[in-house]
Amino acid sequence: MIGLFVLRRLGSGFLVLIGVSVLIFALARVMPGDPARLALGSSATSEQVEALRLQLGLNRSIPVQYLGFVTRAVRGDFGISLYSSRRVSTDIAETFPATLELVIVSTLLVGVLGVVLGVLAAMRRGTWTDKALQLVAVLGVVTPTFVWAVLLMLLFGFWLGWLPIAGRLSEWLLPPPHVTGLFIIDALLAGEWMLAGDALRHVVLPAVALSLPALGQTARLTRVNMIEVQRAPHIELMRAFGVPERSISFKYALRPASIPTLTIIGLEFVALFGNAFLVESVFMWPGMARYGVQTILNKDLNGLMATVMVMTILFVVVNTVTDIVIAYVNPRIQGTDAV
Amino acid sequence: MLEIRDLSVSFRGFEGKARVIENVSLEVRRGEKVALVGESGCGKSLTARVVFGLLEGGEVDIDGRVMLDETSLLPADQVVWSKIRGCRAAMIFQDPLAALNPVFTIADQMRAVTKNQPVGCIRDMLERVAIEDPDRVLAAYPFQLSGGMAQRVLIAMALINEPDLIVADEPATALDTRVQRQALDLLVEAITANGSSLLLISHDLGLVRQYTDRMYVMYAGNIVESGSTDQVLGGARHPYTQAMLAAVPQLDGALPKGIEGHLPDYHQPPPGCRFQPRCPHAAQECHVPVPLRLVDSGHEARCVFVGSSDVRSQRFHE
Amino acid sequence: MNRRGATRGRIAWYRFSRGRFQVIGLVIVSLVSVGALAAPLIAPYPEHAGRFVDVENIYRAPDAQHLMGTDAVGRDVFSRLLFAYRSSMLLSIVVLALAVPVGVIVGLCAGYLGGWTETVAMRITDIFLAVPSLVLAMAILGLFAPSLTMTMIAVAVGWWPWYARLVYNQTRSICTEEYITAAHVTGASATRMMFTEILPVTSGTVLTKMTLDMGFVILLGSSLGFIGLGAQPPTPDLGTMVAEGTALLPDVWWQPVFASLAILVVVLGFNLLGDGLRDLFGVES
Repeated sequence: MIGLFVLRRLGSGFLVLIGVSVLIFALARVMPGDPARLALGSSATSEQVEALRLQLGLNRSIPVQYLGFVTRAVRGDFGISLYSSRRVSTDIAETFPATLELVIVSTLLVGVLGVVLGVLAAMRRGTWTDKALQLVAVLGVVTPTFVWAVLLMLLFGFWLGWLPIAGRLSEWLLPPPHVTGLFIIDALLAGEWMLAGDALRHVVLPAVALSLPALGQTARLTRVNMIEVQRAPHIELMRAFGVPERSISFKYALRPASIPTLTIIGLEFVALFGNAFLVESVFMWPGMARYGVQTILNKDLNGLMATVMVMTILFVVVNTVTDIVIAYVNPRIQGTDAV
Repeated sequence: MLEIRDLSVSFRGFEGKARVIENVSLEVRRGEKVALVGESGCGKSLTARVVFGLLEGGEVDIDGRVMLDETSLLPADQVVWSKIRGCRAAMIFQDPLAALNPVFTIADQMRAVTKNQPVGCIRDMLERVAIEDPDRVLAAYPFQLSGGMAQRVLIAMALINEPDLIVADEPATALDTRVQRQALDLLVEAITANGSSLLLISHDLGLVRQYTDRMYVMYAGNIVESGSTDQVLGGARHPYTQAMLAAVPQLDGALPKGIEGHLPDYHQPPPGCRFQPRCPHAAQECHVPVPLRLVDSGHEARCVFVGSSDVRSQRFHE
Repeated sequence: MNRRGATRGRIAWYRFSRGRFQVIGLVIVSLVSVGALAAPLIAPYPEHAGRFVDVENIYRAPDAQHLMGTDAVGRDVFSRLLFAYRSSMLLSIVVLALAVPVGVIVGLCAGYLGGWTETVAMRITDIFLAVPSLVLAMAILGLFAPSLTMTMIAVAVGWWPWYARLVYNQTRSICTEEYITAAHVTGASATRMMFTEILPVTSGTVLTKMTLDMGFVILLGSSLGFIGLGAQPPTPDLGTMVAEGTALLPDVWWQPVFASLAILVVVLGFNLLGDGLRDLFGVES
């Protein structure tokens, strides 16, 4: 019964959320030093520090503080950012779509390009194409994202000058009317082709840099799975019945081979969120990840906790959805609840 | 109709060259049902795969000739294979549930292997193999089928393009006895009706006795005995065949005698007769390659003691 | 069946050495390890790894005296990279030394003992897995002052759940095998069962993952260093060294380029080695 499965998944997701909120809250309160003093700096007077403490509610007991945090968070109130002096929820609402757009494009690259390259390498196994693709994939995996970011920026931005290297849009353009916050989609919805194209050009380099490690890994995984599936009896059967190699590779071998990749696409999506700050810093992308880093460097507790919670919620949602979709597509695993 | 002549297959690997099949010749005439019998590891499945050109890769060396009527299957190229596979010759694989793609429906897979047949043909074929609810089976995934059902699907796949030759590789090993018989009855019935030929690969002598006209006995990559099924099972001459028959459990409850020893190392097979190390009658003469010798009309065995008037040979041919 | 006296070890080595890449990986890892260990001895300018300023020699391009040039305050890049390798290798070793035992034990207990232990352990694991390791590490480092030691703890905290999950999955599937039931019937205690029966079977997978992780921890560490959350100056750090030079590209290119290559090479080495081990152990990912 898929309904039961969905409920169970949602249930465990919710538990995880609670767990993470406790974890992050505990961490924040365990850290050394007085948050208020740290925020104000050593030159502040004790009255100022005390005032801030009262304001932040730091004088109450820990469980009470936690409850306060949770009740406010549920309403979307994460307090004021000490870094930007604005409501954290506003900051996040502004920066989240930027990161989302970046990560969605990256995930598409990873999922589609990764699989295609993997299949190609498997089909031409042993040839130079295969070896070249494997090399590129390995390089992708072992090179840090920020190195790719800097490299791409130099190559395509400075030297070749093909693609822009800063921000989401060229300076002289205004963002499209806000529907989703994703500039490309919003521009297309508004019928502004040029704007969409400009946004697309801006997202290319950061998205590629972000996706390369995962792309390499996906390509390698797909390649290995394809090669293994090619040896399976059911593929041999297809061959014995004269099904053309093309069909075998792209249809009958690909589907079972790509299931492991698809299973982790949810995890990949969230992992990309984690790494996004690296490319956001290099390419001046106004995203939530970069915001998150700033909150850390500035010891902005509210901003930090909000960022982490948002990421966790995203993780839980994405994984639950992925699990549900997979269970729907593969009725076999509905019965078992993989813990 | 199917003629395999002097087939030799070897694999190059970690420990050198493994000569797994040596100078195997067999034939299946039109309308005949022929068995290829032997224990696991003797090379019979490999032989089947050679017919369909399924052995590939840089580490395999194949020599010999294989002909299907006028068409050469060895040597051959992709063009030839694409015309033969599934159309003029079809194969039934050993483990039916493993031989079906787990993420595609039966309908998808049957459509993939059907060539140029009228609409509705698939459904009819499923009915012909005694599947009562073809629509349910067509919409199902392999894991939803029982072993027997899956086997019948494989048989349907093999029959659907009305091939001249069907090669069944251990078609019932994965099933229980009752289901085995049903499946094979269906298969043989359809084959006889179409006038096709059957090459049945099996280690189950009971099936061989029931369904085939002629048989070949294979040991360690060599054909050691051949003839009509009655001739071989009734009057086996090769020590291996005799031992194999003696090893079949009898209903009177007496424990059968197994055969001592195991298959030879294909990297360093014994010179001459490969059964030597396990043969109770092995002698000096067995160290050189032995040709097939005539026992009777149509009955041959690869043993030096066949057709000889040596006292020793008479002793063990009683 | 006796194959001409070839032992399993010899066959394993044969298969391993056939793959050129695995051997390259082994070579790289060995070189880097030696370099890191012997840094104080083989670095041409070991004092440059600490507080050192030489205004005369800033931004020198690579030449005979400074193989990889000098940085913004005149320090020899090559020497600093050797010391940076030291920190990175240390980071990997400590992180794994902390994370692996914890993760393996949690996974074993959860998989074998079942019941409440299983539920609680895996829920906790899920919670830690829910936050991407980088984010968790950043959060911890942000809250507690960043340093090499803190980085080790921060990364280890995010790393152990992967081992727990890996071992848990394996333990569960092994537990359905009959030889476990058989051993159980002979009255073996739980601890004995877990450590003498199940653990050896998982060791191949765990070892492979550990090798690969040595590289990935260094990668993570360098990402943290890039934004300044790693070892603090003047201690050399691979990621920081890349970040420092980035602003001046493409003119003063040597520091970021060589630092990037340094990261790439060591991660590649562990990756190739790990892949070789994976083939060897016949591991499924």
